[in-house]
Amino acid sequence: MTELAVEVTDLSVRFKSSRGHFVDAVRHVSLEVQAGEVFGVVGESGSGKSTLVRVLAGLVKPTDGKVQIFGHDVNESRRLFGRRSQRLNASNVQMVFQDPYSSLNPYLTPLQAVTEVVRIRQRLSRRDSREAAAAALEEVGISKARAQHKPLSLSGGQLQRVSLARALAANPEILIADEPTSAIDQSMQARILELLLGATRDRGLTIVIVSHDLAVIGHTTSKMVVMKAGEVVEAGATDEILTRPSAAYTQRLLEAVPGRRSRPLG
Amino acid sequence: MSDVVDPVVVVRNLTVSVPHDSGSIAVLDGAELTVNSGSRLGLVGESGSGKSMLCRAILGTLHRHDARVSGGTIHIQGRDASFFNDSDWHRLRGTVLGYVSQASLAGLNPTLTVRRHLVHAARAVMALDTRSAERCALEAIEMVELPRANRILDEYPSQLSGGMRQRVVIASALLQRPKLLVADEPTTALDVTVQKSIMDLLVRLTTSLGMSLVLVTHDLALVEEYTNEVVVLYAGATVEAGRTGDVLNDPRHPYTQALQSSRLRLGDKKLTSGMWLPGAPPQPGEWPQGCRFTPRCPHAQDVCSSGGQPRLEAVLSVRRTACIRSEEVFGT
Repeated sequence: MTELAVEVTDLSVRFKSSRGHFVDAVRHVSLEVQAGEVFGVVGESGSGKSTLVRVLAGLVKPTDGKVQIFGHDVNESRRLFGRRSQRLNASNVQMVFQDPYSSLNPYLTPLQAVTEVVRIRQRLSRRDSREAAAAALEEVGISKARAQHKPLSLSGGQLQRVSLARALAANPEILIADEPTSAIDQSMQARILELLLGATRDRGLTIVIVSHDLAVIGHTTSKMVVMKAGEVVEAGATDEILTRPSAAYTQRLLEAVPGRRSRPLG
Repeated sequence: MSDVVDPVVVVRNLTVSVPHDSGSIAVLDGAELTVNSGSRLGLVGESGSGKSMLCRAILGTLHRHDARVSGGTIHIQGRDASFFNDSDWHRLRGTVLGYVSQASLAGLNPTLTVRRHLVHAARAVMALDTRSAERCALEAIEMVELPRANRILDEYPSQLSGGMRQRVVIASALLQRPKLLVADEPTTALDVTVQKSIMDLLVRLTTSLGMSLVLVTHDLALVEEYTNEVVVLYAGATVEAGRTGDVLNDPRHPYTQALQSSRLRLGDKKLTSGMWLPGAPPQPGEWPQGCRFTPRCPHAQDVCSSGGQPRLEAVLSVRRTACIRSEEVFGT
């Protein structure tokens, strides 16, 4: 039996809104992700998909339920070790966010940003860190010359590749990508996803991809869940769900995807 | 639908430049576009290809972005736009040209109700008393198929969902029933089911109002599903134009072909390497000699990098491409 990278049992997350109401962002969600698997989370805005993966990354505290990362209870370890466990989590789980413009420090060049991560995580000398960072950026197709430009002079696709290099430089066991391609050109999406998948193959990484785009999920993942209003409405093998959806909501999502059938043009 | 068969907008060999250091650089050079009456046209290209600039040129708002037409022609309903003054453009915007900008969703003032938004917008362009302006606002809200129109009018943008806000934005562009609606990425920030409802609405409106639509997007799936003509822009020039089905199913320019093959589609096999275009589109001011796509083109030969950007030439019957090797590469 393969190892479980993520085990979520009956997870609920409740937020207090500014008006004092409670919002149940995630309701009684259970799921498992095998180590080395590419796992998809699909849903529309407000479905709770981002909250779910933020819990996995240790950015949001669960209200109820249990979340285990490689057998370690996220909640438990936080209570026992406080801040130290967060550091532990950070090295295990890395995230790539939707908006590459706001997730990178505008004052740091990509080379500086990645060097910092390498130096902290891999405990290398300043010079070796720089070399390692340049190599990591080269791996995602950012040349050393490009890597010394400030983020604002780079395109969205290039910045997203920098974010990916930075996440991988921390040597994570789990990589979470929250809408990694929705802010970039269609022509660049396949490239970013291929780089993500390349990382799984080469390092045995576990990847969780969050997207509202069913084509992205279909191209990259083997298992998936569909979320709606905080709940999982369908879970299973990606190919199965995308070809024979059982939940009415999944069917509606699939029908709304443009360009899947030819319609009479007039 | 009507007896008007003239194109609403014709753009020929357009050059648009912006000031740069001491001189100027071209952001469009060789842009071509014809919007036929009642047609839905997709304007596609990667970021930086000049899609938004071309829209501004059509709408007469280039000066707001420090840009100006430095070559070529624009005709609006058969009239040469180079003779238009500010008040001509002002009159055309709203009555002939409607615009839903990329930023307009965020541009709704949070302190105004929907009613005040629309009444403001209506009175800014038409001499109306308050009551007629309100009736105009109500009609516009009904036109975009928002339920309980009267209640919506009294709500603030923050009380509406993203899809409803986009309908309000569309309503304000439709106040004067324009002949052409330019929608710049109207559904980018929306969920897929909401996107479908907005696109379906736009298609119904083109029919019911006899209006043309220019849909600006980088999403070829949207173009495939909702338009009947397409213009492909690369580095400031139109590289291919024709009927959507023809162009997407049987591209005659290597750039169109590359865009098509980099698409992720539902039901396709898993991701394969070699799906994407190498490199990035060149920035204005850094366009290469000859065909601007040459550095990224798998079919490029020496002949492609001499001279200037190839002009659009007719291929097949109703198609035009700017690739000089089109026949060799794609056959006839």
